[in-house]
Amino acid sequence: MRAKLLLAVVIFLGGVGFAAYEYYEFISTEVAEMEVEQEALKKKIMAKQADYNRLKGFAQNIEIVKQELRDLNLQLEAALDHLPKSFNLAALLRKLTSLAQNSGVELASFKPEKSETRSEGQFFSSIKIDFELKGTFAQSLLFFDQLTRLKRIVNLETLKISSRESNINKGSATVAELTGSMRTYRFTE
Amino acid sequence: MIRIDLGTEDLGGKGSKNPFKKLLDRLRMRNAAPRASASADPFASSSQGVFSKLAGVGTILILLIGLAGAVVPHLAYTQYREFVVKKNEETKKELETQLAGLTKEIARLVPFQKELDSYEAQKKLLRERLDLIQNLLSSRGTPVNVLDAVGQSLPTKAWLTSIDFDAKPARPVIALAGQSITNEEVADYLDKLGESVYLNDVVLDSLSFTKGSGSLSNSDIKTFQISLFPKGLTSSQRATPKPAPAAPATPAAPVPSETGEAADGVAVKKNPSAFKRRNK
Repeated sequence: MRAKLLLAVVIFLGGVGFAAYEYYEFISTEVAEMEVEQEALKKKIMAKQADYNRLKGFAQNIEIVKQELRDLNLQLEAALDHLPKSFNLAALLRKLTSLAQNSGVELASFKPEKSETRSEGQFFSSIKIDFELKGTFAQSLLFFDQLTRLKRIVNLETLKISSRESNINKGSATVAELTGSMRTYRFTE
Repeated sequence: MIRIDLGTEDLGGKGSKNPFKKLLDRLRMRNAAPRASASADPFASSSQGVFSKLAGVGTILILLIGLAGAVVPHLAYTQYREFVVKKNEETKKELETQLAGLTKEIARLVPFQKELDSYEAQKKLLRERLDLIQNLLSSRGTPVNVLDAVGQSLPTKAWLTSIDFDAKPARPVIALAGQSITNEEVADYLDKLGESVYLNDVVLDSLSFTKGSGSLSNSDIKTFQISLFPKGLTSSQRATPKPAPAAPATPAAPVPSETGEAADGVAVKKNPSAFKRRNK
């Protein structure tokens, strides 16, 4: 009798084991595939939903977007005042000389590079100008301060300030020699 | 007729050395017994057959229960699987319907797509250009602020012999060379430079002693070299400037003179007369 019961239990356990195996196979393969499929669909829907929202938003606020673009254009036009269409080095020299006179420094040299530099994809090009100045530190500072206030952009790139013993003038400010380079820009498009 | 009863008795019971032999003996006895007793007691033989039949039915019943028990989990699994598959199909169908609806709506708005793309491209380009110009504009005040801070921080008993400013895009650097009467002046200068909102990473590169000349021939002159980096060459840093040491419009003399003369930040190179001049 016990053997028969044992056999029945073995058969039962076999059935349970087989069902467990089937369940495991189902969960690990078919259900996983189903989940992947659902995820892919959800991702597609999310992307489409984003597209739809973007288009819908644009369609509803088209006038606002156009106005935004017009404002940006105006801002750029105003900003482009700082980038003239040509370098106009003669005018720049005139301006720098005037600034030098106002601040008390002497513009000893002004050497623009022969070719302008333009980075790929940029809407402006630039030119480097080497210069030499003579004046006291305070005067030089005043000159550079006025330079930064010009409407066109002129940026100081390098500057070396030194004073020679021959420049020493006891009882007054020491005249320093300044050599450096500045860079100015022009709109190219 | 030969009837085999496998489960009625324990084959490997007590005292049985060979269970197969015992089973064979029993089979022989059972075959012989009906023939012997058939004529003597017909009732006894029929009752034994019924019992045997009942024993067989019990076996089958137990096996059937075992089988039924084994099939139940499979049936449960099948039901569960069907449920899951059906639910998945429903979800999938729902999602597909949603997707189809969105595609249809997007198709309705397609005329706006080109326009939107064009506007977005224009907007991006304009913003890039504006940012570039803004960066150029915001970085042009930095050298003046930096030079002003360098001059303003200089103690009275120290002077600079050279300033080297290089606004290279990767990392602008300033190298200062100067002299002082005492080490304290150099330390003070380093502290003040470090406190400036326009300067960063102030490092004393070297400090050496040289014999003074002229009126300072009896004392040692401390020659120092300092390197530092200007802050504020990006728009974000300059957007909220902290109070400057001096107003940029009227840059003060780098070294405030006690006598009120226009002292110069760049003093005499290797000559302490500038100090003498300031401290008259």
